[in-house]
Amino acid sequence: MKKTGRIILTLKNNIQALNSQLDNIIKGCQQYESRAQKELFDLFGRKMFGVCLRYGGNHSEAQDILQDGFLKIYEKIHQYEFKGSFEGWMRRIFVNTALERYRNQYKIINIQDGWRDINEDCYEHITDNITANELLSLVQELSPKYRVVFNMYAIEGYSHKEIADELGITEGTSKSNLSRARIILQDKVKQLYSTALKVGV
Amino acid sequence: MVERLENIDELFRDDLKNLTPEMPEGMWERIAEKIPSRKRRLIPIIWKIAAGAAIVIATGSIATYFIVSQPDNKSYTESNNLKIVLPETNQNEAPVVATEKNIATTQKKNAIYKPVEAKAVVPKNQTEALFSENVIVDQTQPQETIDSENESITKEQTPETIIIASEQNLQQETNLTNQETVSETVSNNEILANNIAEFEEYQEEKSDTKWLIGSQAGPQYTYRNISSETYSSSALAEKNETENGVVAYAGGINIEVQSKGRFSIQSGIYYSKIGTEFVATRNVQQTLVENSLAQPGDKDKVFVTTSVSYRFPNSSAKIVTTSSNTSSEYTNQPLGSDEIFEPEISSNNSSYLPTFRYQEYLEIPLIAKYAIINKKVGMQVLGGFSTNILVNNTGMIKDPDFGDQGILADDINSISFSSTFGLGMSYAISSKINMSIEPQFKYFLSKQQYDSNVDIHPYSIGVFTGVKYLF
Repeated sequence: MKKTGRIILTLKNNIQALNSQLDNIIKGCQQYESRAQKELFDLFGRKMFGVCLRYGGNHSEAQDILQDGFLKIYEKIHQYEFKGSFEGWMRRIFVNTALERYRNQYKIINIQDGWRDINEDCYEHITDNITANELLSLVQELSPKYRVVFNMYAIEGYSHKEIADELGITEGTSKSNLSRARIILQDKVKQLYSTALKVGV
Repeated sequence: MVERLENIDELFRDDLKNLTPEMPEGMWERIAEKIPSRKRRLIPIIWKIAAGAAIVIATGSIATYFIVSQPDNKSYTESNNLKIVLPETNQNEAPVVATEKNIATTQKKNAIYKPVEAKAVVPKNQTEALFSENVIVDQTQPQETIDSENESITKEQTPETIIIASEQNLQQETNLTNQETVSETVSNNEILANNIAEFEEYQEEKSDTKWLIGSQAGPQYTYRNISSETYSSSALAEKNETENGVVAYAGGINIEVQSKGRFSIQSGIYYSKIGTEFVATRNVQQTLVENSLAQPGDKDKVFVTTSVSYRFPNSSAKIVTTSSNTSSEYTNQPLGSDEIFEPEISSNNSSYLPTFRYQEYLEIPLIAKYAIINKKVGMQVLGGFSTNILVNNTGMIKDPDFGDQGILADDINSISFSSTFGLGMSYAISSKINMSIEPQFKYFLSKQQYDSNVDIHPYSIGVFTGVKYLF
């Protein structure tokens, strides 16, 4: 028990030290310090690039979203009030940057509700064999309207109402797009691993 | 069905939510190019007017205070780049520069120092750091603007600087009378250098952990205490009286970790030499050999063989004698104190010989320090423990007639533990380097010798000087 307590205390102290360091970086960015801006980029850049890769259809588009996102971060960092997760705050800005780009480039067509699932099979025990890069490629291959909804709902955790508000679509369209995205991804996963174990329906 | 489809959500979410791919090369440069330069915050005109009014009111109030409280005497003194101007000086006239003849008494609290050529060229980032807080302007003069675009910046005295400058200058003054001269004044550059040094010191204190690496060396007087549960107290007293301490030395490198507070931990590796001096006796045995070695033609010659042996107290180490072109090794038979102080005068021609035994250790200390005074000149108390690894164990009997005789000893424990207490004084030469002097007392906690009849605990008192580098 004592050892666990010590470990927890050490972790807590480490987290406090990291939070203190992050606060200093944020304050530096608010003061327009180049060094602090670079440190913020080094700290969160890769993770945010991961977000951009999911929303962008390709590497080049993801880089554009990343660039726009960071510029927006540096512009809006004075609005951060040191409440809540800073990473979460950054992530929302990057998602909005991606959506903005998406809204400008693509039209969203409302799809009728009740899309019929054509594939009722279910496969298990294949998750261990799929790499993150393969999953990322599958997401990037989705049509933009499906990709955006799937990212927002399945990965970011937005509700259908929030997605509908952001994209200017109905909740039904959001649900349909999500459903279609899931089916496509499921098929693609199946195609990747045709020797996967088939479990009864 | 919904459940199976939601499993696909989980599959992608687990791997992609916290994805951290490699950053493309040159990405930061792309972003940095487009970051707009520092925006000038648009301050509403009314705030500017209010700020200006506040400065004027504050300037007038403080100027009024100084004008009203100044004596009538005017006093000027000038160094190469520093001029002291008292408030009652007519600001429209050029200040009268003092010469050695016309200097009057100044009052400490009311002197204001105004730089004449106050252009201190400092690195821009240091200056930015130094002036990141609002600079309080010399209240008796119109506000000077700080041109932050140029490399050289006009230095304006802060109240802290004013206080420092006045105290520094006036400490160096002799008793001032109307005819006396101010001997020295602190130049503007020195004040600025002091400010920068203090700011750097403040920055260092702000950081959470500091690492210092250094070296230390010095002499130490070493002695050892013999105790025993076997021998009587009088016998022990005699044993201890047969020994004297020796001056040896220690030195090594160390590394110190300073926390945000006043505590620090130091370790390192040292070479430490300790030893003991006692006296040995020499016994010379001469044997007359008659005729047994005689050769034809050696009539009337007497042959004598000489053998020399030694004894010294408190140890059963081996003695290696090299007299008479022979080398022999034998075990010492420890002398009792009576044999040393009241030797029998015999035909053996005994004499006292200085004898030394040395042990050399590699010492690995773990010392905790607490800074009682944590300034440029600091003082610390220190204490801790060390592991001592025996690397050499030597000795010699200094015989002026037959040469140095060796002592071989394997009676010392190869690993010993000691405790250390001391007081340290340090002086910061610069922001990165400091010197120290540390008197230390070290006591061996574990027995030094194998002998089960006695407990031998060496101790030493040393003064070590050292230098440390902060990185």
